[in-house]
Amino acid sequence: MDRPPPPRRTHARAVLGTTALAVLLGCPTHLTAQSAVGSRWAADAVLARTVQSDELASPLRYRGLGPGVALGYERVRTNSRSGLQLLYMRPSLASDISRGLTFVEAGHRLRMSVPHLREVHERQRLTLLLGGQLAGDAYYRRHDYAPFSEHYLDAFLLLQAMAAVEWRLGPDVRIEQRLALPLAGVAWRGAYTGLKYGPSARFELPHRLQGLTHSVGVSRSVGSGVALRATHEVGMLRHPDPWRLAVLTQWLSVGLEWRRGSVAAVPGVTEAGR
Amino acid sequence: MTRLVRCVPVLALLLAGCDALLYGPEPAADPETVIDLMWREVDLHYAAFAEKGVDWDAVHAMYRPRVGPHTTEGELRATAIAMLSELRDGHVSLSTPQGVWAWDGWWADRPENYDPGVVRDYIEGGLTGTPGGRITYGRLVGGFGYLHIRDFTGAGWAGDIDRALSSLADVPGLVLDVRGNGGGTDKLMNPIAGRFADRKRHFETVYFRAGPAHDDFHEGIEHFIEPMGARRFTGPTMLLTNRRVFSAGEAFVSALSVLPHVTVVGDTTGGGAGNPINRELPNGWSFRVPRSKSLTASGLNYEGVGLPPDVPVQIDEADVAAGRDSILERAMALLGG
Repeated sequence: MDRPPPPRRTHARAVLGTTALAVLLGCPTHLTAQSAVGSRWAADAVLARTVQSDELASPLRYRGLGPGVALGYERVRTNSRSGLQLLYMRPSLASDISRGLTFVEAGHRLRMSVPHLREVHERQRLTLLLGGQLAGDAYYRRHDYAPFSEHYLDAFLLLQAMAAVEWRLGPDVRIEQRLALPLAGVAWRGAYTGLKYGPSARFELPHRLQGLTHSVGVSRSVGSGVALRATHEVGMLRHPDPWRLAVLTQWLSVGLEWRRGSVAAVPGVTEAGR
Repeated sequence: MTRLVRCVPVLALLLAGCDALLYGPEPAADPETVIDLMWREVDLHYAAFAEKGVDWDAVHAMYRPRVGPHTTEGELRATAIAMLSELRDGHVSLSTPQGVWAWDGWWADRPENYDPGVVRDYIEGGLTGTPGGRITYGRLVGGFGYLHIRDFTGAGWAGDIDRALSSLADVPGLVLDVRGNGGGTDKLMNPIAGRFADRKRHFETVYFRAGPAHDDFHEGIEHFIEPMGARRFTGPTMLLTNRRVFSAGEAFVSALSVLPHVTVVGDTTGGGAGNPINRELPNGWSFRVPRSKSLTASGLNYEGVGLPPDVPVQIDEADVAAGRDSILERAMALLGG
């Protein structure tokens, strides 16, 4: 339970270095040479399963399901992708021993990510993209133990390196996998006693703030400019202070994708651009 | 690169199955783990080790050898209660399938100093209760008002006191009785206390644990009493207390004590200043432990000692035998009755 030492200057330099690396990875080198190909808008219904260890709330592990909704926008260029994704989840959790009793936790979780990817390799129907994303994750929990309750709020801003692979399986079907790994971040954590005091912020490196996500999604065109899509995503978040918080979330989303521009005609984006 | 791509689903499965790596092992439900976890949780959260003079490491050394892998649930419960009793704290309790244990040493050997049946003899026309029954009120012989608040539990009934204050709007003085009020929540205590406030005043500063060291506390959070509600009473008020006044009940006494028109009459309160949390144990038990301490506006830390009255009065055995409430009588006399 020893409190960690304050971040050193070397950490700050490392943050700057990793930030620069991510920008170099994510930003195209010839912006003016890129022309917009189109865009995708998406709306999904989400069912999420959360397993968390939040030592501020309980020494036990909490599990549960919760609904959610996701919205996405992606701007597609000939050799890059950039966009905005929003995910809201409403987890409802309990420990194995407290299920149905008085110890329960309900939360609101909002994730926002701004990815930017650049094509680095293409062969036949497969495209590899590399880049980065800025991901925000705000997580409010109300921990009930009748007749009282505690309120907790933590938020994280992560700079992540990202790799993505796109497969084009015929003219109508596209599969995409994305993996995001942490480079650096900022953690806003509640105090030792929770929200009795305001959250405090500190810069973190991946050895303390671990946040990664992996997703696999498939979309199938069902008409002009419209596609059905399904995505499975796993996200892991862990931070040690002032109490260890570790959250593993898996969610399955199903929804619609609206395509504009030349991506509407052919799901394979790179095909459309060439 | 195809190999790399094929690795991605494997990585996804690893992520989904890496609970143990992510969280570490979940605490087991065996007796030794349970008693160690309970000790550790108290160590990390309890706020009054210094006030109670408790060496928590010594408590562990004393009781831990009593628990082994074959300790029965009854034996484990007895040891857990013995450990928690060392804190001598009325906010500490243990909930098990055998029932709820709570330390009662804060009132068990002290005089009751309150009998609702005797109070009724001093009321003209009987007492009236609000719908939830938490507030009773009436008029004392001599024309002063009488208002009793049983506790501050539940939610959403603070406005009930307005009915009582409307009924007693014309009284020249009020006996405000909180004897037996074992507390509840500040969310009810604050708006009710505000019905008696003349202006905003600081009455208490609360300090929460800020780290694993027993003396590691956050900066204090100041609590204020301030006018609230449509109906208020700011005339001469006698606030009656006994040893059973505890927790939010004591915060109510602490708040009204800073008002110039309020005099506290009766016995010292129970001495429970902490803000408790409940914690679970892996065998299905739970326990409660306070993680804050409070200082009154005058700097008194009343944890374990209670709030002393302005006018100490005890109901002695002769008064009990005679059916007299000498605390109430003294309050009426101080009001001029």
